[in-house]
Amino acid sequence: MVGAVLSLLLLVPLVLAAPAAAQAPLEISFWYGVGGQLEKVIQSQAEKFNHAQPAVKVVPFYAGAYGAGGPMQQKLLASMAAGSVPDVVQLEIHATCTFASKGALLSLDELMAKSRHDRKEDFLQVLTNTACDGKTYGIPFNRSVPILYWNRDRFQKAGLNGPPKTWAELAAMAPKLTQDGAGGPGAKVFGFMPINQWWFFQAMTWSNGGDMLSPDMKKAVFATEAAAAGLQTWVSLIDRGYAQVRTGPTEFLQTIQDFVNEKTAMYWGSAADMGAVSAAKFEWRAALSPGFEGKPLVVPQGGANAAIMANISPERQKAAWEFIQWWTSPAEAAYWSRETGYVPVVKKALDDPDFKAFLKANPNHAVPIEELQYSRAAPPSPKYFQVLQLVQRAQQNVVSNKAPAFETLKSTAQQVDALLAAP
Amino acid sequence: MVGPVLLDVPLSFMHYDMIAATGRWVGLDNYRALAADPIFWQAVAHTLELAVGTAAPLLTLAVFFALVLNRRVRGCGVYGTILFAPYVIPLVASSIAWIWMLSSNGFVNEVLGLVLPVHGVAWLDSSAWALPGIMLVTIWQFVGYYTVLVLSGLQGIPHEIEEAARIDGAGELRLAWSVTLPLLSPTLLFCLVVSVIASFRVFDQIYVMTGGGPGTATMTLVFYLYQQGFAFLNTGSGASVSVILLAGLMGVTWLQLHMARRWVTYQL
Repeated sequence: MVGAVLSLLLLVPLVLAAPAAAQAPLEISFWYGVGGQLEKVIQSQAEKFNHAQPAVKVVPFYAGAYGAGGPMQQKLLASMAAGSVPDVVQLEIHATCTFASKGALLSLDELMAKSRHDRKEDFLQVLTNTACDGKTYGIPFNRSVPILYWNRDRFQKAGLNGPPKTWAELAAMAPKLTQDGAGGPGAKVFGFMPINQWWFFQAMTWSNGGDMLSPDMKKAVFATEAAAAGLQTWVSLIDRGYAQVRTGPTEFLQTIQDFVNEKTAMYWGSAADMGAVSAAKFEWRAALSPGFEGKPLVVPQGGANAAIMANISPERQKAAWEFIQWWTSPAEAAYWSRETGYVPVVKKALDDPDFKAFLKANPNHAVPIEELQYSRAAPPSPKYFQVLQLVQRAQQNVVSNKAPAFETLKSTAQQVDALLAAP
Repeated sequence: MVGPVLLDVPLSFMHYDMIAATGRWVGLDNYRALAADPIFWQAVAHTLELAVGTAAPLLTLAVFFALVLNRRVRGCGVYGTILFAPYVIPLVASSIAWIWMLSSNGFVNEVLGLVLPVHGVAWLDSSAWALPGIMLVTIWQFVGYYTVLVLSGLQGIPHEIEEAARIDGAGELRLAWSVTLPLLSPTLLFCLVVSVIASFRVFDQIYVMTGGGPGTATMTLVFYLYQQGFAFLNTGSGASVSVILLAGLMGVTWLQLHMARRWVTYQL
């Protein structure tokens, strides 16, 4: 009897400890690379996930902007060199293959096949630049497409009805929307402001029937008149005083601000700007990206994938996968899209009744979803993001430094060929 | 401290893949590629332009402001504080503010428009004006620091010497040229060496304001190194640039110290 009581007593700590051990969640680190409003949404979502289930605790960490070659990728390289990598990373789409081709990321195909809502057929047309050498390494996390923002009040005042559908239409509208600064340089309103980054160059090149790299990804093929045409449209508007570009690493943010502060009547930006643009005090609209007369619109996608690092324990990989699946579950995908302007990545999110009602009330948010059908993947070359840096340099030489477009693209294509040929 | 420098040299003779953490020896290939890259030579030229374009105005202005402040004019404490204030602002923050001030409708152009009949140029969006824009920010940020250094040098000059010269009949200009400047020369040498080294290392302003552009208009050696190493993931090439940078800086500093024998006076 005494023995039985004693043994029962001995069991007490075990019984108490067992659930405690089961409850201690496995902590995994999640590196993200967006600031401002987006960061707040990410943190609140991570908290929601941690409350929703007891097994995994996600610790989000801002590791610097995720852009190609940006601070986060430098941190990631450093963490790999130090042998202490994060578990989940928000990895820029063009860099996904760069890291995957060197064995840094976990292949996700088997996990996806067994998933409830992350099977390949569950996704909208967003499985672009998630794969490398035929295997999948990233789940679309935040995805955007380039879209045109226009100030409806100013369009009406100028007697213009809708947004331009082509670059020719845009070039004709911009002069009518330009307002000269009679009260000093600060009073000028431009008709249009492009953002002089590679993302937009890709869209114009593809939409004008051109391409960036040859199918075998060994040659640059963007040194054509078709690819130069878009940049030439910009330069012509800028030279005549109907458009302006900002420059430098913050040009994107500066241009959004210019639109919100009514320094320009239109700008070509990203679906992800919608949160920031909604600070505008006027009636604004989103529209499909402009294309070229008589040619189909083709746009790139932008954003990041969620990727799992290869060199972590299987339990951590499993926990990381749980988090990614939760993130892309229809309700959460819809929530993320609503809060940010990024497209909801899974089809079922579009069936969500709340999200349906939201889109009806906010038709601007439906534009990027509509545009997805015109989007295409960028060449999955591990060197593509390096190619893009050279392309952007060429764009700046054309638009800011007034170098001739076609010749500049030609010499850049030679540099790209050399880069692609290097081991 | 010494470790990274020592590792850097062998790295510059390798093709090293940071993601896969593997490398192989390639001899002088990285250096040959640099010599063949016109953008590398642009970066060298821009680095030298930046050195002259920041160090010369910085020292001139610092001497001027220090001479004024040394006169103990009314409110010199306030002027000194205003002059020194930019130095304590984080460089990234002031660079962001300067982006707006240098834009086509920004503060700098408004001021220039009042004085000169010029139409605003978007400084950072121009291959001709982007580098001067970077110089302007750098001078604004650091002029107070060098003024303080020069001022302390001025205040270290014994009054007796100046008074003796005055009694001997030296005028103000003569006094400045034959007494003050020679006695100040060790301080000026220090300022020159430090400001040239600092100009070779300018990074934050370019990283925040121009990203080396437009095109390659503000590409300096340090930024080229950064792009090679981290944006293009050519670790070996980045390392070879840093070796060249180190050697170049040592050479320039040696030259300055060597030339200093001709103009620096340690004793009258």
